[in-house]
Amino acid sequence: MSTANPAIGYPTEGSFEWFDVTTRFFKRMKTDLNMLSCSSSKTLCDFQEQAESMRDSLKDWSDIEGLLSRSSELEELLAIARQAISTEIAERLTVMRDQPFNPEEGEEPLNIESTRSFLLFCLRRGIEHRPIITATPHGLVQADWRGGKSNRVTVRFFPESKVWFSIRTPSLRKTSELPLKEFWESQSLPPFPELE
Amino acid sequence: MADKDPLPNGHQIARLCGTRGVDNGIVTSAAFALRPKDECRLSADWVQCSYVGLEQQNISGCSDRLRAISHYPQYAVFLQVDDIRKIMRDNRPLDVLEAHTKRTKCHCAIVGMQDTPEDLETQGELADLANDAGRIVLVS
Repeated sequence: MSTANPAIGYPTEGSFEWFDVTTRFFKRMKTDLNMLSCSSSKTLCDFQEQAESMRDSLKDWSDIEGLLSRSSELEELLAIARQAISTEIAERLTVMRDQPFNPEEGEEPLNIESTRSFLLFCLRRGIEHRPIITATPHGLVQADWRGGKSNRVTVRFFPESKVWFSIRTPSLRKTSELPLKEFWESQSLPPFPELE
Repeated sequence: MADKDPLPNGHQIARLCGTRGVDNGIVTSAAFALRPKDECRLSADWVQCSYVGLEQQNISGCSDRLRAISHYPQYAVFLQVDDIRKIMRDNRPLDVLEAHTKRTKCHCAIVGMQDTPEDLETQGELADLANDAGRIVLVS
C-alpha cells in the first residue's frame, strides 16, 4: 500500500514501514518518530536523513528475539528487557537478581536460561504488564497471572527451554510440561489477566 | 533420615520462603518447589514442637528458631497441619512428619510430592493456604 506524497513531506512507503517496525521494538523513540512523521514542515529529505540516522542506531533492535537468544550475561538480558519488553518486568527481575540466597541450603542465583525463556515468552506473547514474578530456590523464574478468584495461570521456566504450567479457569484445568516454543505457540492458552 | 511420627492435627508448621518466593505480599508455588537434596520432602519447622520448652511452642518461639537458622532476612509462612493433609497428590493426601536432627530439633517435612509437573498444582495449593491464612512473617 503506497502512502507516498513527496509534495507535502510524507514518508515514502518503505520509510513508513520501517518506522512502524522499529517503534514496535523501541517504544521510547515512538514519541519522537511520531513527531517527525506528522510534522508538515519537514521536507521528505530531512525526514529520510533523520530516519536513516535513527535506523542505523536502532538496527540492532530490529531483532529483539535474536538479541535475547545471544545474550550471555544476565545483565544483558535485563537491559534488553528494560528497553524492549517492559520496564516493570525488568525492574522486578533486577530486584530478584540482587536478593540473597543460601548456597549451603542448595539455593542458587537467578538462572540465566530460565530468565531468558521467560523474557522470550513475554516477547512472543506480547506481555507488557508484569505478572507476579518469583523464583524457586533453584533460581528458576516463575510467573503467576491472576484474574479474580477463578482465573489463574502459573508458568515455571526451566533451563532446558521447557516449562511446567498450571492453568485454572472456569472452562479449563490443566497442569503439564511442554517445550517452551510449543507452549508459547499454544492456541489453548487463555488471555493472561493483568496483575490485580 | 527415616520418616518419623506424623504431627498432630491442630498443630502448625512454618515454612521459610526465601526472599524470592514472595512478590507483592503474595506467596507463590515457587516457595514450595522441591530441590534435589530435598528427596521429595519439603522442609519446615514444627511450631508446637515437643522438643522445646512450652514457652517456645508457639509462633513467636518458632520465629526465633527460624531466625537462628536463617542466613538472611526472608519470609516465613505458617500452615495448619490438618489443612495440609486435605491436599491430595496422586489420590493420596500430603502428610507432615517429624524429621528432627541434632542441629534442628523442630525440623519436620511435608511429604507426598514426586518432583513432577503435577506438583506445580500441589505447591500452588500450599501457597493458597499460606496466602489465605494471611500469616506471612519477615524473619530477620
